[in-house]
Amino acid sequence: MTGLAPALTVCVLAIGIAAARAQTSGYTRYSSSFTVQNWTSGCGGFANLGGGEYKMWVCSGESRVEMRWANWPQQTHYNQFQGTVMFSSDTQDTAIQQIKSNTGGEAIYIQVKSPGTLRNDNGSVFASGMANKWFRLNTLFNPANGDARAYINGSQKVTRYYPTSDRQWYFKDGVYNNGIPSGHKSTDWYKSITTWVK
Amino acid sequence: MTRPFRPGTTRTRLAKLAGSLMLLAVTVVLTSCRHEIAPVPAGIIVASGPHYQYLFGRRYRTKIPLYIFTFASETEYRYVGTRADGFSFGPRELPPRITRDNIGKMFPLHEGPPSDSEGDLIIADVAPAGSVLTIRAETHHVTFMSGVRGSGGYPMGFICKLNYDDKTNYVFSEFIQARRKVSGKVPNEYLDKTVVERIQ
Repeated sequence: MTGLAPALTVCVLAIGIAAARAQTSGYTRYSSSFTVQNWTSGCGGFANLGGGEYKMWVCSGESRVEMRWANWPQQTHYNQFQGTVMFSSDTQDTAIQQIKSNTGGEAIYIQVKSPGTLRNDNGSVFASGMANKWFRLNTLFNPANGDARAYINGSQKVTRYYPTSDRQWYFKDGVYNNGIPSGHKSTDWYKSITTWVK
Repeated sequence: MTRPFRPGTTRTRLAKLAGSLMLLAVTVVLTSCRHEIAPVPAGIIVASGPHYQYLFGRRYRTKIPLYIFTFASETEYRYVGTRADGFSFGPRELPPRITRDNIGKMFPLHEGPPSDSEGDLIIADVAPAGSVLTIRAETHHVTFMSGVRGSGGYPMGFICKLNYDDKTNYVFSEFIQARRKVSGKVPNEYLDKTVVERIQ
């Protein structure tokens, strides 16, 4: 018995670490930079909370507040975004993360539709009860073969085939108003953002 | 008939049971420690592709001149539209007459909800009638001004390649799109036939 406990502990810890790294396994991390796109008119905003944590919020009638990451240096490879995210219970009709090209559209478009729910693009809701809780978001896309996916807390939720000849892809995260009802405000927080390539 | 007592087997079973209980306990502890992590139902994977893919690559010839314009907030996005000759395509801030004299001029957006916070409208160029517009992709990036949002179906704009006068521009066509009224999720957007005619 006494020899069993350490073995079990090591096993469980290994499983936990493996789950956290599963999506980036085989990828190489690279550094990227972002610019803040704040197209609001007095209500919305952006805050750098320090330690790699950011807060963004947008109100009804405003456009968006987003971190626009640089175009990928390797456009014909898998590129992956990983971040820890939380959004408020008032967040709704708001895109919170995208894999985007200005001339190719959006391979991944993660939205909070009704409060607490998540969906991709115009698809079905794949998670609910997500407001006010941190979760890990991984999104990836390879423009060369059209393979796009999204994971929540290590569990795959989206698969998408998005064929494209475009090579201007980049990541975006924040709050993009898709029709926030009057009087409401969408807010999210991002931390531990990393970018990966394979 | 009774089974013979085998101490080694019992010890093994007890060890297995203890191991299972410990694994359960460790799992419970780990789960409770991570209470801030959102629970996600397993087994749901949503699959989809582009909704308007059947339009990608289609080429159209413009029947009327169009302004190419942008908004001061984000000049990397370009749009096409016109208010000339009684047409109502494009933001109402577009000049009512198409002339190259307006290239480079800024036109303030009118106030009034819902505001897209896009900033002033800037005329970038004029594409003459006969320009070739090719649909390349679909996009969720649409303004409230164009009316695409809230139109039902798949409320998306198109990203087009526009060729004219030996120039190429990538433009958003949301202001020259029309749509069918539909219920449910089906493609319902198309380029307005008063602006373009299909050539391929």
